[in-house]
Amino acid sequence: MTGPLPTARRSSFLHLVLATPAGIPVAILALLLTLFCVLSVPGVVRGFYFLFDSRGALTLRTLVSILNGSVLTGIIVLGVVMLMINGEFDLSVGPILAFGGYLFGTLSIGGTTLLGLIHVAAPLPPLVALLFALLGCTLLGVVNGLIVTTTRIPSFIATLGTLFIFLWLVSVYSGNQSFEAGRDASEGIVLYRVFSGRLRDFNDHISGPLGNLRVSVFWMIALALLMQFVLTRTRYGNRVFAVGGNLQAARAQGINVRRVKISGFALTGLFAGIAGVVLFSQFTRVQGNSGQQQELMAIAAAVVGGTLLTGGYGSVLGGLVGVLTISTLRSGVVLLSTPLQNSFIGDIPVLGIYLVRLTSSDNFLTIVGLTIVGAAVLNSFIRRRL
Amino acid sequence: MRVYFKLTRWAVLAVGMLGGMAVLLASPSGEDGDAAADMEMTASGILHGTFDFSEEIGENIRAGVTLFGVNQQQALQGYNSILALTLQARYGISPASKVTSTGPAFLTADNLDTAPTRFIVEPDKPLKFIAVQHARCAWDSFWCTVEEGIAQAAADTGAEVTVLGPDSFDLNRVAELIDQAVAAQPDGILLTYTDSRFKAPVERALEAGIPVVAYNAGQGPEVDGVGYLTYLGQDEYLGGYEGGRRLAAAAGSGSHLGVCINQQVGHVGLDARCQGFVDALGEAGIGVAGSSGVLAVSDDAAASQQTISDFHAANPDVDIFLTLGPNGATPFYAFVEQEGLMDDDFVHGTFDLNASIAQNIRAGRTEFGIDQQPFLQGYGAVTILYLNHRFRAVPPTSVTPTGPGFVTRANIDILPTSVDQYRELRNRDVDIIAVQHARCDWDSWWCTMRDTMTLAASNLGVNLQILAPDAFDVNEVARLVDQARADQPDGMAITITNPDILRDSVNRVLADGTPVVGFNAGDGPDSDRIPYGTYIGQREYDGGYAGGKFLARVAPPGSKGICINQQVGHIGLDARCNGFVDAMQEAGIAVAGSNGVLGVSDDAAASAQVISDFYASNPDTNIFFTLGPNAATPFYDFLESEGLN
Repeated sequence: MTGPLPTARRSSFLHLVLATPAGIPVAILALLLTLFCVLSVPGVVRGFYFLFDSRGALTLRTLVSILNGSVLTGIIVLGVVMLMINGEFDLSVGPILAFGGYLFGTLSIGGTTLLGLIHVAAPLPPLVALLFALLGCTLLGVVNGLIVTTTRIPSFIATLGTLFIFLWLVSVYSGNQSFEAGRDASEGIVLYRVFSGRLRDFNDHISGPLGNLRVSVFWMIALALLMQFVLTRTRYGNRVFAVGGNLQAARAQGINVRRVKISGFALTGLFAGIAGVVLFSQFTRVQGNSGQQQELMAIAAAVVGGTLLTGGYGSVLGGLVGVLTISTLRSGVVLLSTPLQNSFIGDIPVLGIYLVRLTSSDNFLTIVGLTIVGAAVLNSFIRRRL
Repeated sequence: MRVYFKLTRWAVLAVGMLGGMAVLLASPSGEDGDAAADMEMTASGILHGTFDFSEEIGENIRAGVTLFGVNQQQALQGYNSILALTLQARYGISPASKVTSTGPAFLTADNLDTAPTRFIVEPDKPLKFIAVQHARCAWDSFWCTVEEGIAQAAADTGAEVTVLGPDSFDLNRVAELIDQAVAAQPDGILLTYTDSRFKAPVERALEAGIPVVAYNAGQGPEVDGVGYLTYLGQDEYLGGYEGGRRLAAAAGSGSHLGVCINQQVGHVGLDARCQGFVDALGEAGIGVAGSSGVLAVSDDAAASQQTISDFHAANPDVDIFLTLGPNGATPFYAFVEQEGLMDDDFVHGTFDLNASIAQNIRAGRTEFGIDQQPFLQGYGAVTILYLNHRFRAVPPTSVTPTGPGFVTRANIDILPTSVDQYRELRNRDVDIIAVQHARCDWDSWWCTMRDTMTLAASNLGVNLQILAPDAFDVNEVARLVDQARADQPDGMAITITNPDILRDSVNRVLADGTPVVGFNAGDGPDSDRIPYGTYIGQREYDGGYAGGKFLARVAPPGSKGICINQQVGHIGLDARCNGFVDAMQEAGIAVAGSNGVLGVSDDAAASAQVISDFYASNPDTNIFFTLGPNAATPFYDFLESEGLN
């Protein structure tokens, strides 16, 4: 990061919205939604609808599905963004997520052998299982932090290494088996529902699409608000920005850089662990490749959300909006696929094929790619003008 | 300039707020009515079928949510891959057919509790089998080899096998022996289904709950009209077909003409051999003499030699000859001597072996003798009963071919011919490496594969190493194949996930002379265009097609289907969807989207979102076909969210 921080220069309302990086992605997300709305106006495109059904009414189901589908990445991104503000990366969150899922699942269900050594015959109390899962994942984060701060190799390389090392750890821990809790075993564990139950599981009055909303969405939002508070309103948050923005200056101010960085990795591990717990709570099933690609999705969301790769700049709310944007796109490509095919776009010679093919769940990643590039360009363009 | 950017900022904000307001304003109306309408149309009739099995799938089959799991019997894949390589490495017994099917079979509510799962059934229960055959080792050395196969399989599987046979050729006595065997209540009976008078005693065995398998003599449960598991013997058509292909290849380029010399026209088995031969030449673009390509001779050697000579005089262009046994080969050799033909003038192959055929193979005059592999008949029959007990595995085909095995100049001096030679070879050290594209920790399905491979290796006393990449990556599989090749194993089992990517690596292994079998993923050496031994598994297309047929059978009129694929681009999974879509279309059922495929991923949460969105935009879809536990898990989540389960 060169030059003075933008925050040092302006203090208008507009500045507050756009300079907290969340402002820009919120605008992008809103732009996307508006675009879909405009396209949905009957007559513009034959039979074309996305967030709105054929009568122009918003389908709550779609919104709920977008929110539910964003939870895992949405929780992981909180740690990843903070770490990126810290000036570091963590590519190993995928296997940490799987590890958390396995720890939580095996310990709370019981009847498994860990590491081929310890036989857990009876299930542990779910809260104890939770504690172990989160501790284990935090510990993996600390390992990342220790490696990076001690060896001073770039965290990109260090965590690329631990990505594979942790995969091995997961495979050893799990005995190379996916773990599933049968319906009978998982029925009685309330904690699963506390983490990822549907609203209608708790309240008979909430039916319809809203009843499908998962508790995990609220966990995600609550954790995001908490992290936003920590980053913007506490001394610790200040140090994170300082360390990521200008390491030498931070050191000169007497900040214990090493401690701040290690705690950043630890928190990232913790959030990946929470995501693992939520995953197992929802599906009562975890497999060795659970969490695969989450590390890149989280970084993509952070970038879309305006976080800088160079550190010192970003916001967790921006990251969260980035995740929601990606999740919106995931729904979008599926929902638009059929109507688009039936519309005049499908009839456009040659180009039509490419456009229609783009809106298919197979090509979701392509759309994400376009969005990353577009968002990064837009973000830097607007930031330069502040 | 500054004003411009100020404007831009305000514009961005304004658009954002407008969008947000639009969302808020539009939300309240009409939603419930719409959802209810969707439900009415489809809630009653979701039909779901899936590939494979997991606890969750089992629960849903029991609950009636899922109709079936397509079962490709991975126990057979794992066990038979190691077995095939071991038999080849130890005894030179090559796989008879290029595709060794292990499925499709279906797991349904009816058979779920007895059908194979990942668990070994009663692993420690001692097994007792009885073999009943119409001939004995004391009469004919052929049967010594069969009995040696039985004994070796018994030793390998830990089963106890008693062999019964009459004192002299007496089919009534054999029928009595079958009844005696039934009375002893063994865990399984293997027998030669030599005659239809065995039908009643075999039915009594089946009624008593004793599984029965036929070997050496029989035509398969369908033709014989009695429900034994399968018949192990030579596939006569396949013998003629593979023989024809080899002869066409040996003849090389240029114009050729072929003939099949049949000493017993009208004999079903021999006619099938000729038909296979003619078909193979036809595929190679080579014509056959006369209208049918068959020259009828007799068991009279002198008369046959004359017939062949006359035929040759009338058809001097014919240069590809297939004889169907010593009774055809003997007059053929006499004809060649008499006419003074040179070895370059023709190519010749034959069924069976005797001293003169062996001598001609060594001399290079005869390309091959087709062996029905008697050792494998005995060995395979015991193994099928063993796998039926331990894994409830059922042979998917009516005939399980043990032949053709090809005896050529290259292997004639290596192949064991006596029981003593088999015994010398049985302790030969064998190192096998399996390279696969998936791991047990991604998908519980692969744990069964690992367990059955390990079980086979331990039973057979071979060293086994299983290699797999850390993430789904076929290029990495190819690299692992290269790495395994450096260890110079005696055999390799490889998932042929993408033949184009794996071709070079597998060809290098084959060039070393190391036997290779494909397992689980692949389509056979011909369509994969890699000359490995055999593909042991279910052809993915067949599984998808059978699943689609099943769903089409129970689907009401006006149904619409979708195939949910968690790895679009994986050739095997794509073929499953193709099979499903073809079966739908044959039944006149529409598929959703442009090609009937919905791509999801191994990320369960995101996949549930995709399926839910798909259903929102295609509410008339009622047939869902998932390709394994990783796609079924988000599908069940979706059902729950729609209240459809």
